[in-house]
Amino acid sequence: MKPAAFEFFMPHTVDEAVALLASLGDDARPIAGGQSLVPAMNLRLATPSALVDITRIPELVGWRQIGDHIHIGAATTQANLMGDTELRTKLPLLAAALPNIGHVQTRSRGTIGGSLAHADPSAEIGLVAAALEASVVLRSSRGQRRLAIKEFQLGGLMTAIEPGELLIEIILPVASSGVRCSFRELARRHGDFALVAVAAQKSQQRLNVAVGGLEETPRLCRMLIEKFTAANFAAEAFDTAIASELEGVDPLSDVHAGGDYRRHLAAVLLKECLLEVTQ
Amino acid sequence: MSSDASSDSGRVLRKEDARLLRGRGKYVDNIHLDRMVHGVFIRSQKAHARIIGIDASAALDAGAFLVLTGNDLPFADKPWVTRYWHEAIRNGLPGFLARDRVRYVGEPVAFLVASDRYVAEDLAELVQIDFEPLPAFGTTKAAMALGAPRLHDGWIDNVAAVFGQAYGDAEGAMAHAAHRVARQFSFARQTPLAMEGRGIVAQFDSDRNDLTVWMSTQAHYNVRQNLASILDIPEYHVRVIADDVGGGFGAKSRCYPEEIVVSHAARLLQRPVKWIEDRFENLQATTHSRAIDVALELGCDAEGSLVALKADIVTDVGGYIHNSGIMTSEIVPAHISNGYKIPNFKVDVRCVGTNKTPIATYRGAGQPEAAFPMECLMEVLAKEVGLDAIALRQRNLVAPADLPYRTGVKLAGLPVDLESGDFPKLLQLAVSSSRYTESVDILPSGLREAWGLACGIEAGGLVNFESALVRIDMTGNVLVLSGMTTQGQGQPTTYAQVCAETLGVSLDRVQVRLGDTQLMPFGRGAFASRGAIFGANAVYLATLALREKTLQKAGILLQCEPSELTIVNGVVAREDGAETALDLGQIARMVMPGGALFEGEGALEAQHVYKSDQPLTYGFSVHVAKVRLDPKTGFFSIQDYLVAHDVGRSLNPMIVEGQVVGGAVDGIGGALFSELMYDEHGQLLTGSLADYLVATAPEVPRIRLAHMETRPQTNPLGVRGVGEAGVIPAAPAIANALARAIDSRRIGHEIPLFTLPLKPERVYNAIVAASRSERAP
Repeated sequence: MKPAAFEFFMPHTVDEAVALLASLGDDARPIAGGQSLVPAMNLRLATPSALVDITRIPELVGWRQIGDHIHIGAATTQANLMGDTELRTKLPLLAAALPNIGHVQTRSRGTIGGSLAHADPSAEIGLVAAALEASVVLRSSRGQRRLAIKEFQLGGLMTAIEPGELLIEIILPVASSGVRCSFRELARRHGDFALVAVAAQKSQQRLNVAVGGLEETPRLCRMLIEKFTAANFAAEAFDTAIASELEGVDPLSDVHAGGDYRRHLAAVLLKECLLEVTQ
Repeated sequence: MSSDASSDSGRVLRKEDARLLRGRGKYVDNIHLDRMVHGVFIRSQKAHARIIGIDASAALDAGAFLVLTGNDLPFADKPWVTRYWHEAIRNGLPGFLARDRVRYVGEPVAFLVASDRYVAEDLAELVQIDFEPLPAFGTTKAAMALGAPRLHDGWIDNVAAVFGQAYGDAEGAMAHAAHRVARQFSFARQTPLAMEGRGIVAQFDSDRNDLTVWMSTQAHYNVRQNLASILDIPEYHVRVIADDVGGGFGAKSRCYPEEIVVSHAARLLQRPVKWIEDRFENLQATTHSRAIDVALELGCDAEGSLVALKADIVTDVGGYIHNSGIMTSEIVPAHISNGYKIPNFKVDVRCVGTNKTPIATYRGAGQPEAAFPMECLMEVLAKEVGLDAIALRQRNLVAPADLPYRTGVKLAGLPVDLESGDFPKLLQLAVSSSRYTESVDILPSGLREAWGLACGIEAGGLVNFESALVRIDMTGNVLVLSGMTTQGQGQPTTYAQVCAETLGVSLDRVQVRLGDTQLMPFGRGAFASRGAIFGANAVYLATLALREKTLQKAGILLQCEPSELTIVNGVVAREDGAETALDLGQIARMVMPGGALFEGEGALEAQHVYKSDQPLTYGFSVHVAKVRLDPKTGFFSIQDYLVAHDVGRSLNPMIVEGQVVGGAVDGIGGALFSELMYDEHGQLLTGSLADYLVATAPEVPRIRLAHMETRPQTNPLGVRGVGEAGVIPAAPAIANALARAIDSRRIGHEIPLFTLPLKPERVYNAIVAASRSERAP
């Protein structure tokens, strides 16, 4: 359980970081909190030739509001986001999700960008991003691009990040006043990856809802939102809307839970979350 | 000794904690020796394969100091030194490094030594092993299938051992029973998961032919025997030191191949060699346990008195028989009647080989595996008969009037005799202390709350003989040497308490040393809940002998009968309480060479090897659990938990409570979370702690305790074992609570709960089964 040898760099600007990634080649990896990458390296499932530590880059830490969107630096730790009372009012769904991520210790190291870039199918931040139809900004020495979250989340542990590219920020819409949120997950133990998780947010005009842990990537429940909105959010429409959303799903199955059971849990959690945000 | 569990007598802080809590413990990885080098085992990632060839030349060219393979070991054909061995075992012990064939993922194939562990792991990747895959069995069913190739020559149908226990006429009695219930139970394959994995630092002094090893083990003398015999070094040249050990739980109770190979490497290289097992290896290659399927049938008469028990047991022993034999498979039939009087009994056991890690003991060692089916099936039977579950148990438990009760079965050649205790009263205490009820609470939210309960007998002691030596030095300080080890159970404190109180000195004058084969000529170690039953009794009897000897010397000096004297706070006193000027240090100086009372002894000391005519001392415990279940999902939490137990005399109630609570946490984790899963080809699917789960703080309620004390007559101190009572009936108590929460009246729905662990998905399947039977006409 010792990693293979690697080089280590600690740049202080994004430009420096992407220049390093460009020059070090495809086997170099950025590292932030290391909560997924370091265990993988210790098991030699990942053997990067070099690590570029992005946690000392001031531009990548913290958040700012531009218009009605919040831009969060990729290297901001989950613990810092959780402790930020101002952010909690602007992004209540993210605030509801954060305590479900791992443990105090892992949140102190783990970053928002690290979680998105690792792209575990059960991860809470990826789920919130999908539910709120977030965008991400990627930069390389060749330039910068902005992607919608559905173009970014390609599969289990797979994203649109190209070699040499660095995820630098995530952009989430500010919640309108009076918005109601619900985040629920079911995990074997406190802090474990969820078997299934649901994130829902409802404003006057708009419902956002997504389910994680069910498929390779978080599922934005478009059909459910459409049917339920068309039914004017009437409780009687819950069951059919949920059933039609989950009908075609081919759920994940692993040592912790089978696919049919996951689908059942998704239906239960969707209903609970919808009740919470609409009743 | 005078103490009782209800009082605070003996409730002293542990002597070892100041050191351990400050991070000053001395575990194997804390050992750093001059010129020390580091090894890594190269393990099979194939479940079953023939080894065609191993090419280590690239690793050696790149700087490896040594690469050992099975063919490099001059002792490759030497046998293990085993202690007790069941005659039914059809051989199949592992070698030291696989030579021609590997039989499980994680089996050691080669050992590579380099300058540090990082370099060693880099170089290990250069060792080429050419495997030819063989068909692998991931289940006992596949291994026993017609025409399946044998894992070992003697394993007919891949059965490594077959035996049984029977008395009376179980078939006949069952056929005529008024009520019969039968269910199939499966206890998951689990691993003890000590915080400190295995590890060894071996140092060989070639000029003296001395081998010294620092090891994380429970059984240092057994390791010494094996090292001496296999490596062909005289036993007095082998020293095994097990200083602080970060948990054992049964997995470190015998010698492993790695320990032999590392010691051999140190001898070849003439440099100290360290190997520390990492968690990845720990999950693959430290012995697993449980992995037992039980088909159990109970029959009773119209009133609910048990008339017959029949069971068919299949243990998944893995690719080899570990050198600790098949102890868990032996304990299940010996204990499955679990304190109930059953006149007709028949249990058949098959130990079946698969391509998995060998199994050995794990806290409770067969007792949780016995209590789970029995205590779950008693609940089913109660519903079948129409009795409440407590009444059915009370009707059948061995009562004080039945004692001593000879069960009719044997364990390791010894009769299983229940000689003391009050099982019905303890069950009653558990019920009254816990607020247990058989009704189900349905909360406004739809959540359901219900209680479950289960009993368990615990055998402590088992392995006979333990040694102690007590010495008083020139200043009146007292040193206790023991043949035991400690993995944190508090022996350094408890033994000091026993000695201090028996001798008549203050606790702070007594120091205990153990875990080093150089201390005593003989010892066994810490396992089978024998620390008090054997270790403390050895200290007690050695101290009594020393006290007698000391008072005899004092009588000479004070010119009176020794019987007129006693020792108070390290000073000799008259019977009437009047102090004398004579303290223990003075007597020690008189006895030593040059002293006036010298009679050929080097010090004022006495030693004793404690042996028991009945090495098994039985205890009894009852677990009571309250669950809160969400019937929509199958998720549940444990709201309340109580353990009622009878540990006999409690030497240090605080340590006893710690052992019981720790055991309960282990038991709850084993019931809810822990499972080593393999695919059908023998690949381990739960290879890290992300997938092999144990209980963590949020999942465990506060464990409440209820004490009862009866004194066993099997040992002078009147103590029982305490290390395992906390774990034994945990799973059935929780399963019974869940079955009741789902449907408190009917039976049938509970079947999914009889496979551990109690994953939410299984609980949900039970809920679905109950709702189906509800809809059925």
